[in-house]
Amino acid sequence: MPSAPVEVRNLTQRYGPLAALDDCSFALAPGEICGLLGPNGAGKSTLLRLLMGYLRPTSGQARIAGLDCYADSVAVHERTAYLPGDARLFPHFAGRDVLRFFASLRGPGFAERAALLARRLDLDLARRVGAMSTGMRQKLALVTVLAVDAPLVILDEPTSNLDPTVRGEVVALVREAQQAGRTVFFSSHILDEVEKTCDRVLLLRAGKLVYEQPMHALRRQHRIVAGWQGPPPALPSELAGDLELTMRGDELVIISACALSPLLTWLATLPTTELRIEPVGLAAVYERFHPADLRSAALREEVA
Amino acid sequence: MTIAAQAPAAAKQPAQPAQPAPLGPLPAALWWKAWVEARLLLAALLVVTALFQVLYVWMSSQVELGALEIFLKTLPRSFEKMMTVPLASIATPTGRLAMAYIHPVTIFVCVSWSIARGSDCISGEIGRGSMEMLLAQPVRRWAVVVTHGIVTNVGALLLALASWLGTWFGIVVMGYGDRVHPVDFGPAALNLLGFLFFLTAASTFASAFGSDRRTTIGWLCGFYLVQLLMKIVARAVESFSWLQYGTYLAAFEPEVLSIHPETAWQSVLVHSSYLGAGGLLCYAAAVYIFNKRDLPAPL
Repeated sequence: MPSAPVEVRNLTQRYGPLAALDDCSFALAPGEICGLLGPNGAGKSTLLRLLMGYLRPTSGQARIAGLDCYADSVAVHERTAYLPGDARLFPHFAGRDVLRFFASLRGPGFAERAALLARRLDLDLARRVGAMSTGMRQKLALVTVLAVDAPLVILDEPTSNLDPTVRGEVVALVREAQQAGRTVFFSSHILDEVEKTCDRVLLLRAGKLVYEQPMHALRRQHRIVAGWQGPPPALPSELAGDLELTMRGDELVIISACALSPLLTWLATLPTTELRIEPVGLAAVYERFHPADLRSAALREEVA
Repeated sequence: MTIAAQAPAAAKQPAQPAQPAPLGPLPAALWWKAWVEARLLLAALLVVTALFQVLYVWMSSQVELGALEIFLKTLPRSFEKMMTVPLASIATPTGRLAMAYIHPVTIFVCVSWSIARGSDCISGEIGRGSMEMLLAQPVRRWAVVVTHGIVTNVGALLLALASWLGTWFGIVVMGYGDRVHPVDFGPAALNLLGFLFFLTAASTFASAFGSDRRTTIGWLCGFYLVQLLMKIVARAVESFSWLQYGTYLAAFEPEVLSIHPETAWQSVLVHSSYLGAGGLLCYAAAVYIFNKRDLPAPL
């Protein structure tokens, strides 16, 4: 049986008393796009850097294609294309020299793919990296990563510093990578982008993996908001397991992951007003797990 | 929380693992990168070194030996104690030209090359943030150090050669050939190479610990000054002569080699073996530390 593209077991990374990543376990399936969400300091980059073997884990194990990410890092890198969160390239090189450098390391086919991608992202390859804008450098780094013919693509905030047009192009490129059979694992702060692209999302909070959501299940979820006076109604027993019911002022908020018709039938028997139905979306999920706990996030980032 | 992998329904068959690129242990790309990053500084320092040596021979040829001898006699005896050669020998044509190899310009060029390139190898690359992209490729960490080190030390060899050729050219052009022989400065140039090799290796070793090149350069400048002071104190104060065993500069005495041509080649081999062994030890330690250390995120 082939190994999972990424397999993480009880992975922990500590800096003194602080756990940048705490007992994290998950696995990616071949060919899926998995999004990694979390505020700054949640441990996203630490997780991706552990996968690249840049850090020795305090405990636990990370494997890519069955290979230990730390001990077999060179073999892992042969099978992985990685974009760091703050991708910086060699400032003395012109764009085309950078591509030539990576082509020499990545073998046949890279140069042609990189040239096509550079054209698609409207990249000026004659300019020296040191003289490029932040967005240009990010585009160049993306080209060097997406042109690699590797079964796993790991991207740490790939669309930061990019304008909306290029951002859309990058999302399209990620989808194309999936269509070519690659597994893509990427972190992002842009929920909309993750929602549109991913098959699954993982949510980190203070180093812990707190939530996992296949996107098709999320797309089935709805939020029903209805005007309501008085204490919340008792749920009928046949719906109780599938609904989450809360009061928000004079509003009754129901989150449903099941078919809507029995719920609406029940609601029709209640004296509700102004009924509103909307898809739940990632934003609601994210808000549920990440209240504004900015102080601890800033502290964690500083230590890391 | 354990999350099991589930293949998305829409996904096609996964790509076959890419064939590893046909890379040797030291890929050509690393050589090329090290060369591109070094070439401008090297070209500038080669020109300065060669021109300085020619200029030094010309200046030396303009000074009357008798006048220099009189000037040297006026210097206090304590000054002579700090010198590695007798003051009288500086008044000879060979002695005067030999001083070019420990002249501040030569030392500045050598220290600039060694510290600039050595500090760049690991802490420079990490500080610039490009190490992450470099090590995301299928290259071994030791290969990054080895290719960088070899290119830097080929540069060191060229600098030592430029010094010697500069002296040689100056002697020929100034018509100094009847009084000194250029070959007598070969051991001095070889000793300069040993000095460059050791300092480059020590810089790479310091670089292996750091994540910021400026900090590494600061530490290295401090190290060099301490080594220099140790050598001066060891020579000036007899009770502190043991300090010479703690400074690698004790094995860098090109002026002594030049004024004793009869023993110069044997002496330079001894000096070179000390500097070479120390340098290799520093490189081995740098590779070991770099292999073991975590790669921090760019600042």
